[in-house]
Amino acid sequence: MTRSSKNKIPLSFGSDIFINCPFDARYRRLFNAIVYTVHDMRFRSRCALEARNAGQIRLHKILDIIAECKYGIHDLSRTELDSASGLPRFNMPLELGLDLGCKRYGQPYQQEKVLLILDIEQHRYQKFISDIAGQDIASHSGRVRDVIDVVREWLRPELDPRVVIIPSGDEIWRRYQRFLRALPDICAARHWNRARLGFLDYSAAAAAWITANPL
Amino acid sequence: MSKRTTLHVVPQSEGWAVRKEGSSRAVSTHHTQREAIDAAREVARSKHGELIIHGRDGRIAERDSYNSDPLPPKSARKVLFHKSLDENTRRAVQEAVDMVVRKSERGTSQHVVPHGKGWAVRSEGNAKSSSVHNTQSDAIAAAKELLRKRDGQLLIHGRHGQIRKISTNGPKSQLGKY
Repeated sequence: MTRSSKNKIPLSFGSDIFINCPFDARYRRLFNAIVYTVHDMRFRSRCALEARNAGQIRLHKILDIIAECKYGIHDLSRTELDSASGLPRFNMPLELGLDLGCKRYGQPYQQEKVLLILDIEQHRYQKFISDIAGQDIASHSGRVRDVIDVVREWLRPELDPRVVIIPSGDEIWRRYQRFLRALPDICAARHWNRARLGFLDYSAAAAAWITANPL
Repeated sequence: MSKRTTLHVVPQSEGWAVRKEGSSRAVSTHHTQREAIDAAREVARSKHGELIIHGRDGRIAERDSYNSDPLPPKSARKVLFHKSLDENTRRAVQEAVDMVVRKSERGTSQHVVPHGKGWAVRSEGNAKSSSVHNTQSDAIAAAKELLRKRDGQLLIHGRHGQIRKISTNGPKSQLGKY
């Protein structure tokens, strides 16, 4: 990679948000709500799930996504031991560390990165990853309604209310409920399996629904 | 109010650089002026700042403003799709969603109608009953359950087929399901 291409700011840098969170069924409702909120605030969601079948080493793909996103949402709420292996999962703290490293050591424009760290309780992180103190840390209590508010409030200062319409947390919540009601029909129309809906299809459905239901 | 960001696209010994006003350090460097302009424009847009493009001789060749003064009319920002979606896929998804939204706006009314010795629930425009019940109250409950998932009206008919009562049932929260 040449110096000039490394320095080049990706065109979508200022609108892309890397979402680093558990991808299991238990977390799905929170993940889906975060993706929807990101799109309803008119940003674009990115995550490691888009790396599947890409024929690329997963970590390299994640590093590329991190480099291309000005924003990062890192959920550290899954700290308990995995029931099958009896071991903790380190993917989320690892990817947070990569994003913090990119912000610190990356190109000048990457040093403008804005990161949000989520946990289930406000100060719990101090017991297992105290070095992140001083970062933007918020709790969602495991509730969809709360995670929508947290993500919306975090993105709010990035938008100019004199120029753009910024939906309130309540509005995003109501719109999200309407979107969820439409989702089974959207899946049926696209011949998607609702129970196994992938990230790219879900985010496309959210973006299309938001387009069809402007603020 | 924070100071407005002004970005300059300037020539350098090899290629072009994007510089923030007041800073000697280049934000980024590029082979071509076009690449530098694109990069600077993206930042200027996101910061509602100003873009100043210099020519090879260093003189200002073009100027673009992305600030909000004077205030433009408020509008929602453009909805962003994932970059990996090609135009055809994006259009196909949009068409499917538009169809679903149009259908949902029309709503689907549910009729509770007499059926033999019992009662049936029938969707508007559908000759076939979606369910049959022994009592009218069971049929009403079933119709309400259908309307919980979709906007529409509940029309309760009397024994002789006349509409006895109309109510509009909005769907309720399905938070627990997702």
